[in-house]
Amino acid sequence: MNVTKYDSNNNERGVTNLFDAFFNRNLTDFWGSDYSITQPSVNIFEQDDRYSIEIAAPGLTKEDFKVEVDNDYLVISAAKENTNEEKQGKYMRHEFNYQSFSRRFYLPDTVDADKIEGKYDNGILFLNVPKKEEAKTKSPFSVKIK
Amino acid sequence: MMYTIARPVKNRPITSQMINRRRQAAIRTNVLKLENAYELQLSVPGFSKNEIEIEVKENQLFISGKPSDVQENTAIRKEFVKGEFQKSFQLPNEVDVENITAECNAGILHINMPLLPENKIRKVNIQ
Repeated sequence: MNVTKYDSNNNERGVTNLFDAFFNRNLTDFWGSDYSITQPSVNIFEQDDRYSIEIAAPGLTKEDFKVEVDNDYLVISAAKENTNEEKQGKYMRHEFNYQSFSRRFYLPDTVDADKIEGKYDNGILFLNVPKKEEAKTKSPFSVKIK
Repeated sequence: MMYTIARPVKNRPITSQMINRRRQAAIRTNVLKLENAYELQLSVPGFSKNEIEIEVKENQLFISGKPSDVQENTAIRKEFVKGEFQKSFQLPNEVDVENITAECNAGILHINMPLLPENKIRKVNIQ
């Protein structure tokens, strides 16, 4: 499988995007979007002892997610089976749909992949990726002079 | 402009790249036509129901959100912002504005707008 770098500025298509790029404005704000987003956005934060990852994928339940460590990669995917709860109707505008996606991230050697934990809250999947003991940033300490 | 999404990060020049990023944080909306109602679905990840306000003025629907927590600023990758937003919609005549209901579930705000029965739509006769 090929790994391509995810470019957050280049993953959008559609005519409005061309206008936005050309005029440097958000036409989408006025008229709505002419395409549907299926890839959730991700924030990554680094702390002294861990990385935290936030994946904005509203409309799922925690059972829909699959988080796997594949060699050096963290693979986050979701697949929601279309259930009967789905309302019968017709979409007049469809700007987002996060029912099925997959994103992968390279894990540096310094993280402890066995201890990754997560929770799903208000449409965001939070993952906690702890660093290995030796990689944690230590607070400065003084050395005694004999 | 109807709504603003996120303020630019302080002390950084605004580049076209950042404007693109800001747009990514826009509140995306699905509009679903049901048998006798419209349903709006707004993607509001991270928002709980107490952080969102919905108002109906005549036949306009105003939705606003204000995060109650401050986001950490140590991001090494940032593709979305949970920021203040305002969004408004013009409601069609056939919507029964008195009976609009909403619920916020798993980061999606569902707004249900029932339709008036055919004979109750306000019509004006031309004399």
